[in-house]
Amino acid sequence: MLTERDKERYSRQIAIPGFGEEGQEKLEKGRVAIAGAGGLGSAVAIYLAAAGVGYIRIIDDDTVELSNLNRQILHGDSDIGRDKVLSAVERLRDANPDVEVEGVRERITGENAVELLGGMDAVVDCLDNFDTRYVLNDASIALKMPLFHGACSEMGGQVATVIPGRTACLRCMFPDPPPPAKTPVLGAAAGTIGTIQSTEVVKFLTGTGDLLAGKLLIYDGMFGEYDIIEVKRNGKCPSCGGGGEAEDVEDREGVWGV
Amino acid sequence: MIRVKVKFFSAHREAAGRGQTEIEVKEGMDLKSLLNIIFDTYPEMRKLAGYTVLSLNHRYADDSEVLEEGDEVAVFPPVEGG
Repeated sequence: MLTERDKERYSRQIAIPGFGEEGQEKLEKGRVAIAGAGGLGSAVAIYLAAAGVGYIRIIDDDTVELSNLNRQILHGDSDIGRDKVLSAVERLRDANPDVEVEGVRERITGENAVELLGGMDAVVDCLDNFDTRYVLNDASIALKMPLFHGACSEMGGQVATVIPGRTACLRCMFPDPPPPAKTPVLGAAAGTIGTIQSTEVVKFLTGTGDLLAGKLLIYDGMFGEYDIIEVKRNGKCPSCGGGGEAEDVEDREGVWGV
Repeated sequence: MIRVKVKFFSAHREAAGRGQTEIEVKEGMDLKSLLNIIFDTYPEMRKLAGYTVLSLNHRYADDSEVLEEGDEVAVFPPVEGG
């Protein structure tokens, strides 16, 4: 049940058609894991916390460096050298004390990924490399947990929503990732991509609108262009097998659009 | 001959030095042959060959798909940063 304070705090989003107090109650019950507290993770986490997602688990094993601060808005100058999850948790609790925030200082691996995502409704991919993304992808498939992918580079990036068993998984979409590199990124580009991911998560939790499921949005901010591309499952995908038939994954609100 | 529109994004756009172009190809040409023409035209892009994603008329495409007049092809890389 929403308190009077909740109704006021979230009044501007409750008023969105199709959202309502019911949507807000669903957000408060929502449990979301955020993999990575960098540029994408900062934008995703701050907007999900502000929106009132009930439980946020943010996972990162890194410490804050000066060169992070152009884009990683969860952390400030005084956080340099501290664990990212510490500054992330402090910032998120300050943004919205009604949200339960858990920081996990761990590197995501094939051994711990399923455990790290345990008890969550969704996971947001805010990682910076494809090796770990594939691990996260496999864990989301094992748990049949929706994965909200984002990645950014320079002034743009890409977003896709993966519903295991129904849509193309990350490895279907990107069987041949680029070699690992320190990618140049404008903070606002990480913000653009991260806020689209946040919107996807909110729509999923509340059952509002249609998801970018089975679609890849590519945004080229340098030239102000974007494209939305239908992605298809790869029948030979080593991660999801690409199954011909939709598996038995419940579409709670009929919003998956697939 | 048929004409197809090709759009480049991100690193592929930088390699091409332009956002889009129109290419005239033989009827019955598949995406793989088109990509070879593109790489010959913009040799810088060949370095990205290992991680080039193609779409045809706004959906993912296999490189064996055959082109038709007026098709729109997009060429882009997977993006990695976070």
